[in-house]
Amino acid sequence: MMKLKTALVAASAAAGLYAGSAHAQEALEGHGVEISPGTVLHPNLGAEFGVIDNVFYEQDTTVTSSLIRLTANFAIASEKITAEEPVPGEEPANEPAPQTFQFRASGGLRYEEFLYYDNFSTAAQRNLAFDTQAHLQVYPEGTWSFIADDRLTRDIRPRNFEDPSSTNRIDNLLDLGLRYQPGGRSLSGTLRYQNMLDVFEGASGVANRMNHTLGARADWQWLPYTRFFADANVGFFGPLGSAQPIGGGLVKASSVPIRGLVGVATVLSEPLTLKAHAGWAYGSYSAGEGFNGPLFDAELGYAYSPLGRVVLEYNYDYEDSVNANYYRDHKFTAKLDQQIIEKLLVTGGVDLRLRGYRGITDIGMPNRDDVIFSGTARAQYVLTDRYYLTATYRAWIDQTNYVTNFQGMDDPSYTRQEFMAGAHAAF
Amino acid sequence: MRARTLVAAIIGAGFAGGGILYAQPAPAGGTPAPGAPAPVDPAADPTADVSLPSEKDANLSPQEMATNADRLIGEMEATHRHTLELQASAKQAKDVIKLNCVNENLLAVKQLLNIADEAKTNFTGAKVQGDRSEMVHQFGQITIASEKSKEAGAEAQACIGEELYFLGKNDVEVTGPDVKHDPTKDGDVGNSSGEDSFEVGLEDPAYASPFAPL
Repeated sequence: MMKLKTALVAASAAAGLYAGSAHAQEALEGHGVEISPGTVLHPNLGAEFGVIDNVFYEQDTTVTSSLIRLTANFAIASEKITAEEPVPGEEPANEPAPQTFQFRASGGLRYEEFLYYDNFSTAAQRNLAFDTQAHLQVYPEGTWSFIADDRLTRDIRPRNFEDPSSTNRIDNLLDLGLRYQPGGRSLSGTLRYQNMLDVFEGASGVANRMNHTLGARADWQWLPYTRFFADANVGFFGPLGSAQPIGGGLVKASSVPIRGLVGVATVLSEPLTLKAHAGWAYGSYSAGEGFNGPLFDAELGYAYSPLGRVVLEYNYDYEDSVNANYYRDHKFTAKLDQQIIEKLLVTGGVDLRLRGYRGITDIGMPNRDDVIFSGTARAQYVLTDRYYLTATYRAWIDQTNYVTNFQGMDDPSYTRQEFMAGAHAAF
Repeated sequence: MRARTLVAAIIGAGFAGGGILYAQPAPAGGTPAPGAPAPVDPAADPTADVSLPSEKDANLSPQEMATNADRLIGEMEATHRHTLELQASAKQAKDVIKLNCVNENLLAVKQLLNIADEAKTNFTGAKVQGDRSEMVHQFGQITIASEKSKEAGAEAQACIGEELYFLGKNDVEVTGPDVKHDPTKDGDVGNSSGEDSFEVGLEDPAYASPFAPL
């Protein structure tokens, strides 16, 4: 039953799903603020108002709330050194010296205030999420190059039942790589290490994780728009701290998964692009079911006009899970970018996943199968060279026949919609 | 009357003696007369050759002259071809001034080549008839035409302003298809999960009320 309250009620954030929106393609980028020679900061501020029809991801007793969302995004990067334009009649200038390092960083803050103040659980969902990313590459043109990437995210998500608490978490993904790229840089090999840290705030009942991955990767830029690659890695996955934070709750088992794949990214014709890879993954867990099967991905992009492009993708993969040992996805994705008129940009996409969780312990049957659908439509209208308007509609559907037998029976299926509209300023 | 006869006799003797003296071979290694400048020995100093080509070539045998004539005409034909290339270059550059300049010299090269061809024909006829003086004359025509052709070719080159075969430092500009979405530059190339690195979402806790308070 839907509770539609007009205002003055707070609700929760739908944080995690929007964490990446700070990096979505924005209609404008301002001139920026020079904070040091060669380094420019591009701030972007926004305010949106909208409504969410199912704050707590419920199947039956949904809570609807209006909300205000304030965003502040930034991007910063080192200046890219380019050769000076040659002057007719004069000797061309010397080639610029290779850069010692390149870096870029971006991030976003998002504060959400739910206006359903009559409902304490909803009002308590007000929160601040952030998503920051940084990239550093030392000697990018050198025979040996060091690469470091990091993404730190605070993900805000209401619980799957009406409650003032949340399943907020801090997620950090660190990638370190040492690349060997001799000669013309068409061939390269990279040794890499990845550290994934997943820490839940408070007594969420979900085990924290620390996953290490060691990998080797090779790339071959055969043609200007054709690249082959191969990757092999081994992971050391397991819980960080207690494997079962709450007695009788989920248990996170450790594993040593091994993966390998080969792939290609190429241009089939001027408007048609293809990315594909295939491989194999094997992972056994200290308890419960593991996986042993193929990996596959194919993405086809078609620019049907100078102002429009559609991308279709199918992906089959295995991932370590917070809800089970792992989950396996058949993912079908379609994305569309279309500029309607000079000042109006419309983007949209749908994502369908046939997900199978495997290795669920203690709270019910070990296997769970879901049909997960999400859709997004976004319009951006440019007012001036600094200000633009946005309107965004998102929908999520998760349908499953799985029920838990822990502390009562409940259906975890839900349908959730959100509509937001607002204004942004790019400085 | 006797005086006139005497003058005439002296002049006649003088001409006769001069002709005899002029026809005498040069002394080989002889001691120069006191006060006279030291003679220049061409064999001792190769750079001291100041004779004209026709004079030098007059000492060649008929076969040597024929061989040299063929070589010179071949060089003139090469000059002609090169000047045609210069003309094409000027046309491609759409530079009227350069084109007119090259055309003027190209015309001279063509005319000189015709003269040389005609002289070669006459040379062959003289060779058949055994007329050495005519052979030397025609060979001289070919030699002079060759030298003039080289001069015209050099002037045509000067019209362009630079050696055609020296292109200098190359600026290679590659024109390719307008690929706006380079798949090799996407962030997810080789990403095992197949997701763009900036778009990857976290897996949500998927249970409804597993930890709900009683």
